[in-house]
Amino acid sequence: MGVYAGVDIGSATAKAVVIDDATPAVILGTALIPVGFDSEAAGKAVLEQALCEAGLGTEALERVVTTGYGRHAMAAEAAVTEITCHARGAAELVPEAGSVIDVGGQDSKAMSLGPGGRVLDFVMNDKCAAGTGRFLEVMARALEVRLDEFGPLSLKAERAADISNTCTVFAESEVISQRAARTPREEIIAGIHKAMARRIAGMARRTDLRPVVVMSGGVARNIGLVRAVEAELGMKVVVPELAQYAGALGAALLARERP
Amino acid sequence: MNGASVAAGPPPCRTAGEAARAALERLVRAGADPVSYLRGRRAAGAGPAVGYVCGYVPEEVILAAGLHPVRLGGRPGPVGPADSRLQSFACSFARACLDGLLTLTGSEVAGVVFAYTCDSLRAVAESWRIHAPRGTFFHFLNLPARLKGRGVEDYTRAALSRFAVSLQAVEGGRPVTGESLEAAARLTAAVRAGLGRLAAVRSARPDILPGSTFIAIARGATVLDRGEAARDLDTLAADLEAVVEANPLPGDGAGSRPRVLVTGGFLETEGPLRLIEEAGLDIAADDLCLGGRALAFGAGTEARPDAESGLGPALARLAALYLGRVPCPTKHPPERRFAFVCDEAARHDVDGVVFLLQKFCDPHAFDYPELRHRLGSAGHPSLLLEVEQGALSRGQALTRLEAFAEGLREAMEGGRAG
Repeated sequence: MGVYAGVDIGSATAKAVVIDDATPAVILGTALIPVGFDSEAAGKAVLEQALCEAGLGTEALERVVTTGYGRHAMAAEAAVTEITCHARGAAELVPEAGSVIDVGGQDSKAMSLGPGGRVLDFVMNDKCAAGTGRFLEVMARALEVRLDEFGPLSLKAERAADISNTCTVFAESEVISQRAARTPREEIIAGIHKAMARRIAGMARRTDLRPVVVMSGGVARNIGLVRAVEAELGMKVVVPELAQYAGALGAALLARERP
Repeated sequence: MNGASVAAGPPPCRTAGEAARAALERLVRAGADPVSYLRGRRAAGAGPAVGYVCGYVPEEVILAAGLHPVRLGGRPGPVGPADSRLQSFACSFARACLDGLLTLTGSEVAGVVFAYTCDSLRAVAESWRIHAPRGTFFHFLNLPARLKGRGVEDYTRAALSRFAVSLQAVEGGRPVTGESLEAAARLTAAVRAGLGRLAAVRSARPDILPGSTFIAIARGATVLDRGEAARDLDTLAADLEAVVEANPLPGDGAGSRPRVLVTGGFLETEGPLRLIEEAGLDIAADDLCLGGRALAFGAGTEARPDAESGLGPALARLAALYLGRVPCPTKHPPERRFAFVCDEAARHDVDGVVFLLQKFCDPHAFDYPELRHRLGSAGHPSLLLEVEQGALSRGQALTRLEAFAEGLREAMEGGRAG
């Protein structure tokens, strides 16, 4: 049995997926850890954990492909961008995917897909934290709410507060003003999601956006944001269970396909 | 962008001979640091130099006045004092440009000539007019934005005539004559011809002459003494043509990198181009201010025995030459440029096109959707990368470029397999 791994070293977390050579691929192990200062160490550690979960050692690995911002930090057979890997991974998880929106810790991207998850077109956000996981982290701190509570809380809101700024720094000031005006916390969060969704949808529309739209990356776990993106796009958004691992899975699949 | 952060060191180029290596070094060094070149030149007792900002300033007129033309661009690195002297609409290139001009002490150039291009560079010109060292020559060449229409040629000829006369105010400036203008036109045509030969080498073998090096050379040719530049370009072209001849490529094209055409404006450094190459792309052609657009005119400036002599006819020929060149996005109509970019993409058999646009440059941004659409219709995928002086995020830019390269490679492999 051939064993292949993909390691996605992002700005916030490192993910690894180990697969076999079956079609469709069987996922043997996954792991996720925070990325500290040392991207290489995080990549190695997360791969080790995923292999451990699969009950395998490094000697079992045929090939490894790395992706994400730290893709060049760790030795591997190849380093492939997260754009190609998320597209490939999302198409594996949702075969009918036409577009992918990946919202990561530090950037967001939208891709339109061709057959087999081939990237036909893509756009990325531009050196700005608005519309990324970092934006949510800053807002969570300002609101003193745990990040994993953001989605469920926002769904309880009767209305969304008006957050007009898309700049993280100015939006934080706006949130503080809303807090001072005693706007309910869930309404502020819903407003944050709406502002972020507007930005993500605006970016995604610059590609040939086609159903089924799949959302990947860690932020896809935020159900409130997913609903807000759906409302902005006017399209259903599918979030696969392994959304956060889509990049690592894509990298593992590319490791398997490489000659 | 921060040029220092991207692939520092001399650009690679597979020259064979010592003379070619020396020529390459002279050109690249002059282009990378025109101020040092000008100071050295002055210290060696050479005549006065006149700087110009914008490729629409005909350096032929400066040469014909017995002066040394040197193209001035932005100073690499973070923007300094210009920030407090320009309105908020000015792009980072305009800011870097004014920054560079403000560092001049008056000993490097006797004056600076501006041409009308966009509002930002107009603001740079006006600011420089106020802040230039006392006694520095200033001329604003008010060329038309519309290149077609009644009276455009007459208007341009008159503007060039005023420019020629104005240069007599520079110490050492001689009256421009028909003969001196024709001789200058022949010299600049020789420089463009040398660059044209190098552009052909770059297209045939970007592994021998990378696109970033080509632009570094082209930049040097706007700084170096033009006679020396023409000779150096000839030496370099002959050497590289021989290297291409002696090192044929394997026929199947396997392992070759995707070829791209790069389109955009003036770049302060070759940093963004090196980043494109670092991402696994070969720059086979360009539509840049210093490159393709500057080369795509000048044919017909060789000596013509039947040509009418005298300053008037020579200025008319020069006006026709500049009005007929591939226009930059600040000129109208844009059709000729759109056709040029699409034709060049096809002629050089590129796999994709990279738009390298100055952030907040409205003229380029206005043209972008239409040009992207036309290229896409012709089967050329494209990527937009916005650059900003001292502020390009290397990681994000590299990710975009590598993803673009991955898509192009996949399409190439699919094509080969098919």
